[in-house]
Amino acid sequence: MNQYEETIQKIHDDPVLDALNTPEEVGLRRYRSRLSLDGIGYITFGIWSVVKIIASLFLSTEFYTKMIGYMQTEDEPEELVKLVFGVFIAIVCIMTLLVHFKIGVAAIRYSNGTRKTRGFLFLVLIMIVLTAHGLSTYFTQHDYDIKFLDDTAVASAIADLTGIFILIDMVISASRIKRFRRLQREAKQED
Amino acid sequence: MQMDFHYYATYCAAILAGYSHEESMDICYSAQFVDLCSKTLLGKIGAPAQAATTQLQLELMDGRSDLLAVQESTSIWSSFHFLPGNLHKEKNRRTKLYMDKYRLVCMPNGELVKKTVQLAMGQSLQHVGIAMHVLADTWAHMFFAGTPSLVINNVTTGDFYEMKEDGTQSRIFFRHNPSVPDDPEKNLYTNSLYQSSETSVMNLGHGRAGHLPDYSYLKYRYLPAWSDYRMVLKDNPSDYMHAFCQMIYALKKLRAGDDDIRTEIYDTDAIAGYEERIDGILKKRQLIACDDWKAFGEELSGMAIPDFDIETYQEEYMQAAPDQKEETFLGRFIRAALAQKRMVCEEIQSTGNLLTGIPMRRRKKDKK
Repeated sequence: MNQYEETIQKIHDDPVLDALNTPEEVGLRRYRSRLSLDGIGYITFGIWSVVKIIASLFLSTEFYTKMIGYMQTEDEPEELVKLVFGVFIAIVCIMTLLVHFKIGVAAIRYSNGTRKTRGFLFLVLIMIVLTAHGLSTYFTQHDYDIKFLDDTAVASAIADLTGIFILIDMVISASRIKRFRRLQREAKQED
Repeated sequence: MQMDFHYYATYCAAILAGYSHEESMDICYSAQFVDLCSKTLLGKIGAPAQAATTQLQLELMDGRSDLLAVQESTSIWSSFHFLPGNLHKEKNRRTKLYMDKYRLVCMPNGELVKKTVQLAMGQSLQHVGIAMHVLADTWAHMFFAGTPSLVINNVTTGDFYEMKEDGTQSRIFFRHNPSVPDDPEKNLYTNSLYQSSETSVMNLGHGRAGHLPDYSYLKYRYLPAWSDYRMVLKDNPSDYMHAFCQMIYALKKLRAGDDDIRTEIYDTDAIAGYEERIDGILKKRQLIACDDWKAFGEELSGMAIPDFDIETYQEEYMQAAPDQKEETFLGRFIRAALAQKRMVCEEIQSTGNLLTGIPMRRRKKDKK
């Protein structure tokens, strides 16, 4: 304990406070806060992913035209193809949002004790793999030729890296919370 | 702290320390004036703006948020209202930027409070009053820093619990409605809005905890941002009693001219026979205790204590000739405020902390 902590303790020694500041209680507060922030961060990341999808359609007409070309056959009118394409994109956006929202809300509920199980971590692990794989396509699509790597690709890669970081921190924080809750139960049983 | 303690309680402490009624009035007026001496007021009376000992809400709202504004703000609030407890404290794995702010956290019984009282030795009563204001605020405002900082001054508003004398705890709720007074019966208080910007004025001092540190009856626990997820306890009745007894000790030393000032000494003998009365005032569940402290003070001295009037000495200062201004009441107050600010800022700057500005000595060296 350093001199500063000794001063605080000297002024305010209180048994109620001692019970609130055991290593288990402090650890639980720290990792609950982290997991809650991770959850909020991942929901925000989901919104960013949807914005990215929609922005890439509006800004990249080449991609849009290519996709319409793939989907259209000789007999189908172009308007119908565009409608189907629009519905497809809407479904993708909604699914993306739902997955991010589910993971984020589950993390927040686990952090505040409303949710008891850590089943959402399986989905987290899947998303880590998928996001990491998606990250690599920024570099492989042009056969690792860096001169084709534009600013938007770099920015998106950094954002995705952040998403992976959030997911990994979720796994760590959820595990630590489980450990501290177990230690807390053991400490109460000993008392 | 509020007027009840800075004006009336300081008067009581001065009487108990042996000062006369007139001397006590000068001391307590100066102590209260620290909370009102803003740039706006100084501009009105034609006094130097550097002597400001506080910043009004409108001044803070209108102010910039760049480095110079942060330095100006920090130099005022750290010097007069949030005196740092330990400018050399350590914390592992933190950047210099964080540590500069962490070391500004206000705590009582620090080296700086000792220097504050010693600086007032042999000086005017106005200087004594300023020293008493600073000393008292180290108890009320402990655990907050006089610099706008989210990572130091933010609190988790969902973790505020009042700890009552019967052992029960009740949750404290915050709202952002400064036009409505705090409601102690419903545990409903006003605080500043959460702002994620590190140097936002909302994160200055104890704004995030509202006026809770200034209410003498409250004992509560909460989670400050700097405490690494440990709860801290703020026992205002006990802290205010410590502040009162320490003020009496300091005032006696100042009156006797004895500069052997020590920390962690509280003159409890001086309040013998009055402990219950003082304890009752401190623990009474009210937002401001002016009436009770005033009644106590008038009983102690047998004299009437006039209500505080901010304009009492302004005319004297404005009418005085330029070479006579320093001898007026406000002139002596201004000189004392400048000395206090210079001392605290130099102490902070000597540790390599530039949050109160670049040291004057360094500037002269750069010019050469």
